[in-house]
Amino acid sequence: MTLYSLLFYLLAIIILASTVMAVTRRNLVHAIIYLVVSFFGSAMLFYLLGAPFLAAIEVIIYAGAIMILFLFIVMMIDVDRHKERLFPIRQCLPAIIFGLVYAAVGLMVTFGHSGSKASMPIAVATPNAFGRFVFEHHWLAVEIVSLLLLVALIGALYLGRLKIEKSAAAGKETP
Amino acid sequence: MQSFWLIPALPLAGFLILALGGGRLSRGAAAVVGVGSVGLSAVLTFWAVFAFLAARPEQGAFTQNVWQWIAVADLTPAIAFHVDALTLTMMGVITGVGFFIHLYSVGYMAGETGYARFFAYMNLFVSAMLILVMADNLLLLYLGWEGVGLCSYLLIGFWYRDPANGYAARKAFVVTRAGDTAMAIGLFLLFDRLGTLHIQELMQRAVDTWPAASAMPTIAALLLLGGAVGKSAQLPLQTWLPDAMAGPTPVSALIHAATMVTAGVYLIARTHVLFELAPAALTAVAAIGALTLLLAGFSALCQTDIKRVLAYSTISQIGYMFLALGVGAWSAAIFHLVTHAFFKALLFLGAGAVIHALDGEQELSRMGGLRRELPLTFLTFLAGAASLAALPLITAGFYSKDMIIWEAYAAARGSLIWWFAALGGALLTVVYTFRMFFRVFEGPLQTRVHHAPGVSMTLPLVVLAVLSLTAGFVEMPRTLGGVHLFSTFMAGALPMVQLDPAREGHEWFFQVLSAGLVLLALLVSWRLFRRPIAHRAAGADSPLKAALQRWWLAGWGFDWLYDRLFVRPYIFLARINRNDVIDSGIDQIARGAQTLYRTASATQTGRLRTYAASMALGAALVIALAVWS
Amino acid sequence: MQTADFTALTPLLLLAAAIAAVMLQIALKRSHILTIVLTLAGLIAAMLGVLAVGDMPARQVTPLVTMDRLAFFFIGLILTATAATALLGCRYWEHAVGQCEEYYLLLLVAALGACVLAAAHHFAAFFIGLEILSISLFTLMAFARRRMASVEAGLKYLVLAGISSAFLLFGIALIYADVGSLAFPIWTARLQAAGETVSPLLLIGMGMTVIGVGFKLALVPFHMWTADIYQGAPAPTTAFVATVSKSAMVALLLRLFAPVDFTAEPALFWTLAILAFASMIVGNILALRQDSVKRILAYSSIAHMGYLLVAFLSGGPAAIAATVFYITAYTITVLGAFGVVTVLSRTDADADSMSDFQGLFFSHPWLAGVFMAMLLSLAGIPLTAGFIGKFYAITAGAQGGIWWLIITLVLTSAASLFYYLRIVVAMFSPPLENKTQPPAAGISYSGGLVLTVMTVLLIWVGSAPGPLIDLIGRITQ
Repeated sequence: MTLYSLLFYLLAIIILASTVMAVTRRNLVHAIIYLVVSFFGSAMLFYLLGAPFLAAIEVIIYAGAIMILFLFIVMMIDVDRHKERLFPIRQCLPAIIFGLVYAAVGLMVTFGHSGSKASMPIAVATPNAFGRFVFEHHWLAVEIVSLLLLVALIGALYLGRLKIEKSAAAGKETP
Repeated sequence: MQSFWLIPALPLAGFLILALGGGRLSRGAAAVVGVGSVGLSAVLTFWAVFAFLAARPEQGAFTQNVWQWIAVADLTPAIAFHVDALTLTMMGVITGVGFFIHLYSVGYMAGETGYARFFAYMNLFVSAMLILVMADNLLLLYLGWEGVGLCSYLLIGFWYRDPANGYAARKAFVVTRAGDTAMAIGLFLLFDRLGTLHIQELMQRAVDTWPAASAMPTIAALLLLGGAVGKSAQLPLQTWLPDAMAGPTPVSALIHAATMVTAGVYLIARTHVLFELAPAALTAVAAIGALTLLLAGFSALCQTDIKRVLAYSTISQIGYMFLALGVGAWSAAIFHLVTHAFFKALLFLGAGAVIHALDGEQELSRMGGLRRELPLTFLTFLAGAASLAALPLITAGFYSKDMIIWEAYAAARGSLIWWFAALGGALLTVVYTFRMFFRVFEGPLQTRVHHAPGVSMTLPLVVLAVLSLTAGFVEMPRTLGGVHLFSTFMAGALPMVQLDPAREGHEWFFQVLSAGLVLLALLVSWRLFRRPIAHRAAGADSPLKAALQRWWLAGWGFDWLYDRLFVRPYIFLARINRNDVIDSGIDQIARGAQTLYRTASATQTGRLRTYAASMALGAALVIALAVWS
Repeated sequence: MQTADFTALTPLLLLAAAIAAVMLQIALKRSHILTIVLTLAGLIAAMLGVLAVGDMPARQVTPLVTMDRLAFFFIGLILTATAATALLGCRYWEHAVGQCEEYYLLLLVAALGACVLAAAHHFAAFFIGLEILSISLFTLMAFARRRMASVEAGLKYLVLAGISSAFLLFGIALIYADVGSLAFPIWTARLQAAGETVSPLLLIGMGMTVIGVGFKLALVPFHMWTADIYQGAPAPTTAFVATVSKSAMVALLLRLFAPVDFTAEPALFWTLAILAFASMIVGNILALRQDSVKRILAYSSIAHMGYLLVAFLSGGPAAIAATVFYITAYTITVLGAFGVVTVLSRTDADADSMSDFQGLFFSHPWLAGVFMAMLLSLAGIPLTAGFIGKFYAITAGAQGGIWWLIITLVLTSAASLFYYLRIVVAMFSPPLENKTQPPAAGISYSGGLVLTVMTVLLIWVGSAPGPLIDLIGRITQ
């Protein structure tokens, strides 16, 4: 076992464990912290695969921005501790099915004779190379993804305006 | 000739206008649309005839492919028209006579509610009938065929508030359906065996594929004959036509005398190649014709309702056409079809004028003495009656019927039996025609005349009367100068009759004989029926005669027979099956579907988690399938 | 990045320009009518773009999309359906409380996403297009914010679409692991070549792709969302979901699986066949005794996608042509049907229950006539586009010899007449006594225009399908 694979398995265990913890925590803040750990693990994995830029992005955007946003939201809406059990019996069946499916897939992928055993060539995608690749070959994708962000923004704005409008309408009616 | 499609399209457009906007149109506008559309297509038709005469197209027909609906393997149903001499003749009759009947209806239907509805149906009928005769494939022909059947149903039941009319309409529909089913099976058979429904190609392939007198063409021809017999009210499916007189009289004139009922004749003439391959089927046609013309003639003799006399007379005259078709005298059949359209439409319209004048009275016994009251109707009716009775030399009916009678004997497929039947029928025709005529116009006045016919009614009468008298001069036998305009015109579409050389020489003898007998029969009916009914009733009828009269009055008891054979057993079975043995199985399906519906609906909980679970299950299923199949 | 690339992308560029224009206009000055005009102008410009460049040879622009005739055809279809939806929305949102200009903006973005899907040549384009479409759709569904059902529909769609996207992504990852490329042709070639010895990775990836496609097409058992969302969403959005989203997905289905020979890949065939079979049966059964017209149309859409798969599964060039024809006919019909529903609806309450349609013939004879034509087309009655579509589906199926699916199709279509005719019967029944007047007093010009166009197209395609068949024949060569 090389150092490389040792690191890989270690990271995999960290990611899996922290994700399981994130899913099972009742305290939302704890869950988010575990998720942050999981994202850090993923970032390390990316780094290990030779994509330092992606690793940095993962940390900045996911572990950084998004998770902080989540934390703020959790703090703002101040959720009560859920009294009911986390998994009612009724929801177990789908969960078990999902689990089995994924387990089966995992087993099959691990032990089935896959078509291509050959590992992919080792490459290092420097930020420079990555940027050139994306903007030279996938410029269309970048443009389209920008629209995706745009529509998400518009949608969120429109739906989020509900409260303001309600109070405005109420204000109109009273005089 | 790119405007053929307009000829059926104009009445169809008229129908659409009247059907969609009928409620909003004034009576005048409805009449203008209804009559105008048919009039325009009549003008176009005659223009087409002139074009045809001026420059005969190649292969004797104009063809026009308006629009291909769909193309799947061999099945390529197209809206395509094939216009040859036969079609043009039919089109002339449909639009020409049709126009005058429409014009007549303007006056006749003036007092009725549902004025626009009437013209809408009539226009639809004309359109469907034109499609029937112009179709270049049997599928389109069948569309027209069913279209005219539908219009016939709608118009017989036009006064739908009286249940009896509704019954008559249903009867006509159901009885003709029996024939139509046979015809549909025939079409399936032809398509299955020959792989096309295009008429010209079908005929070509039939000749190439099937040896003469083999089983397959005989079966196919007999199935088509089934359809023809139903539509043309021939034995054994003739029972609907007398009842169909429940419709307004212009309807009887247009649909049940001049055009629709002759569709069977047209169908056989159109597929004559197939019938020639099947001599047995041709003999069946002739036999049906001969039998029908005699039986219907006897029935006409005893009817008491003026329209039923004419109905039986129509059945009998179509019997002549079938006889002519059966002996291979194709153009004689079509010739009689044309003259019959003129004089029978005239007689119906005349009868309509009488009925109209007497405010709906149809019983012969309550008519009489109308000669002085309705002089114009009298004169035109006389022209029609003379033509129907085939009075020698001066009427159109004489030339066409004489041609059939002569060729029934002299044609290669003719025989003395057919000749006897035809001659007997001719005598019967004279007697029943003039019985009716004298009952209506002679003797003392029985019912007061309410209103005399207006100009829109008399004009068609006069025009048709002239045609009934003169239309025969286009075709005169050799003995009378030998004018053969009609049969030469028809020669492009239908083969010339083949005369048996051995019998050809006796023509003048047979003609003089039949003409003499007709005059004799006229004399007999003068003696029998000129006197009013009251005098004659004094002499008590013998029981045998009375029974015979009742039997014939009831149309040889066919209704009774069918009632016992089909209707009652059917009702009996229906009664046994009151609890729906068969339906219970179907009910089970419905109940099963309901149960399934409830089960399936139960999954639609509205809960997101159920839906997600369903997706998970589905995912498991899909992956399992993908991996293990 | 060459000029030819931009030429090929003309319709998409024009659409994007329209998005920018509408956004700017909303930012500068809100005006409902101006937004509609700009939206329609953009859509028409894009359609003209399709006409202008549609006949050019196929061109691959970046690895992501290929602009070929099939793509242009579907883009045309999507643009038409979007324009119809915008026109329908015009009266619907007129009296909305608050601002509604964003609706058109979202419609345009959703249409762009659908266009990307229709031209996708690469799993990345597939995923991005799908997400743009999904995210705009859920906002469009929740757009009537004051109606709980509308918001609920949006939320449900968001979660379920998220689940399906998760499956799809996982599948894409597995496919990449096996194939080493995300381009469709390489994938299908590999699937084709592998035959019996195809690796489980690839098969599972394929299965998960089917889940993603199946969710959008609402195939059983991924259909659960359909009825709730059709019913809850505002009527124009429902029309959009039922047409644009479906046709884009059908285009993708063709790109993904049409090159695969089903005899070489029985796993794919059986997966899709069982989904089709279940969709035809469950969709029709669920609709049987429904009382909500929108739900009936939702369940019928499930069944119709089953019918479409029958055409698709028959294999060979006839299959593609039949599928394209079917989705075109279906789009025309559904736009007409939801057009009637929309015209009868208002922002605050959609015409939905059977009683809303009772006696429609007496109050709005033309609307009732149009709706009846659409329903008969859905049922597959001759002289309507639906009949020809079904006929071609059956013909293609018969050529492919998949008789058990054809028999299911015929039997379930016969059963479907029951619920279509229930609506027709309701329309021709005497109006209810104590019923409030139907919401729409008169039909707007825009709604009337859509309905007229759709009805004319329906009858035209139904009675003279020749030109459309020829066009599709040229596209699918």
